[in-house]
Amino acid sequence: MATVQYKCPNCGGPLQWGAEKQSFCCEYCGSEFTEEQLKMVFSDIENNPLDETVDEKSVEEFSNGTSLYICNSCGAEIIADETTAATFCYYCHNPTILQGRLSGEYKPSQVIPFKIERENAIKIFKDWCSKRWFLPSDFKSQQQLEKMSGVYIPFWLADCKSDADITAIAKKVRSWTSGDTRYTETKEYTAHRSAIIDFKKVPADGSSKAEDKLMDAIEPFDYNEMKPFSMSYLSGYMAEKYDIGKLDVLPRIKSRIEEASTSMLRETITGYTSVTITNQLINLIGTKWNYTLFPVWFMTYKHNGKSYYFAINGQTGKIAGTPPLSHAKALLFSAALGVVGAILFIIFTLGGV
Amino acid sequence: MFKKYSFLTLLFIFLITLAPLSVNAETYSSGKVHIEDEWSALSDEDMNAIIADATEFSEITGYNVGFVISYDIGTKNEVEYGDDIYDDVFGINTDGVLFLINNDTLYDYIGTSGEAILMFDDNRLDITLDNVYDPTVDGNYVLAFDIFTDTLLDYYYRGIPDSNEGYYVDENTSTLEKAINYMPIIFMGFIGFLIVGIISYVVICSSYKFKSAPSARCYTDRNETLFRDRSDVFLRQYTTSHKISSSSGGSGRSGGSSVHRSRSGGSHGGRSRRR
Repeated sequence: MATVQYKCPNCGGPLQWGAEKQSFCCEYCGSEFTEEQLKMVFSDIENNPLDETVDEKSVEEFSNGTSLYICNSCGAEIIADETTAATFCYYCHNPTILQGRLSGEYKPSQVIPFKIERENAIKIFKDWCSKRWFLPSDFKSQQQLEKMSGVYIPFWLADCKSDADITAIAKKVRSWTSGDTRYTETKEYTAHRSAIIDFKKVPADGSSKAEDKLMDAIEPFDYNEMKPFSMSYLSGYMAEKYDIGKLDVLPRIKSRIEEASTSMLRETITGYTSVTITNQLINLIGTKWNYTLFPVWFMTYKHNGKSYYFAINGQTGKIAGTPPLSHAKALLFSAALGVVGAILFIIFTLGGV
Repeated sequence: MFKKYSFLTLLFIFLITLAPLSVNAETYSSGKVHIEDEWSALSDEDMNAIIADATEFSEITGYNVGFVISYDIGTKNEVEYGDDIYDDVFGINTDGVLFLINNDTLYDYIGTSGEAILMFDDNRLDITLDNVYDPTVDGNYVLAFDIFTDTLLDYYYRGIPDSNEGYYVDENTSTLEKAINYMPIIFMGFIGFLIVGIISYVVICSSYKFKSAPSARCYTDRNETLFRDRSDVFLRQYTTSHKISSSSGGSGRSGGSSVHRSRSGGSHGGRSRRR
């Protein structure tokens, strides 16, 4: 299968998308190109339909889902699994886009290019770690940070309307004392709220390799910076195509929309002591889908045989993940605080004696 | 001549040998017992009865016991007079009691020292003074002292009164101070350690838990929300009531002791009564 590599027209070095400069950069001669310039130079790649044919020999030999590619730069063979759309040649390290992987139904309509450089992502991660005092000592080692990878993750964006209807029992409670008797008056109301709520571009990742909760946690992305898809943005990063279809992510999106709709309608029931929702009905209508690629920095950390996954939003820098906890440090700190607490309790007790 | 001197010599020897067996009718002081009769109201028989009573009391309680019938207390008041006698005879801050029948100013006084301050609070001393009042007025000092020891022994068997439970006499300030029980303090310290330590550990662990995704509400515009119905319909109203239990005021602390410092620096309790 053919690969695509964007090479600098000045020196022939590999061109990569520069997140900080928001342009395409050659790391050899330092040349920079805008998107428009790149399209002019590489119009044959950008405009020609992507080859969808698959070598039958490849399919037979790698029936477990992997495919064999030839690097345009060094001729080395690149093996990639069925969802990889962009990667690096393991031998010459040139960024390589696997032509055909992002074609047809797998061609994204839009992409948010990387805005956070690798160094910035590492800095964000280090700052995040510095606020957590109870991490294992080797967690922030350079060796771990070197494993950070920039990946374009496939996302489904859903536009839809939520037809939401909730019914609740609302109570107003008033109390007063007369003589030696305490009176409590309760007024009950039935509150009904019904609305059509417009949801725009609710995201859900379409990759089984990316943990759903992790991808949800680095939201939101700024959609104002979405651009029409071009393979050139993938250069210098890894990319995945979707392997979870839009109908498969629909339950996740529906669940989030239901929670949001209920919360919004519940907020409009005001002026009561307590509100209990007794019935709710949420229907999604008119769902439209968009398939996009969003930038994410990934890091995996292994500690005591357990893997910890972290993700940084490649556009906003928002970080998500479950940090490992050094229980020894936490217990020591808690014991020290406990001693302070004991002293305070003793002082309080002596004061009352 | 020789016969006259021999008789006198024998008489002298006889009197000398009998001397230790006779009791000075005015003062008796031996070990934990001190009897002083300035009024010369007691016969030898009375004195012996009082000594026996006092000795028995002292042996049971371990307290010093003094009994003074005064004639002239000079410029001192009954409290000063009684406390000074006690401190001079038994030493300061020792455990004991003294009963002063004051025939000068007619203010009788019962003083306490050491552990006796806690054992015999003002309330008990007042009752004892009540009990000995009649025989004292009648001049029956033997009976008065007998009632005195019996009453105090009865209280001794009952133990330290509730009003003085957990207190001790501060010899520096001559006041009753609450004794510090360290077990509750250590227990509270341990509880404080556990509570703060556990809360701290739970907070730390929760801060290392995965943070959930933002709500999908950020993907909607409230201004574009079209409400079809916003209605609140009254269903019913009901009122419940319950009686509030009133709390009765707690009884205040009674008893205690009028603890004071004597002129010689000892801590004493005591009560006096005018006849």
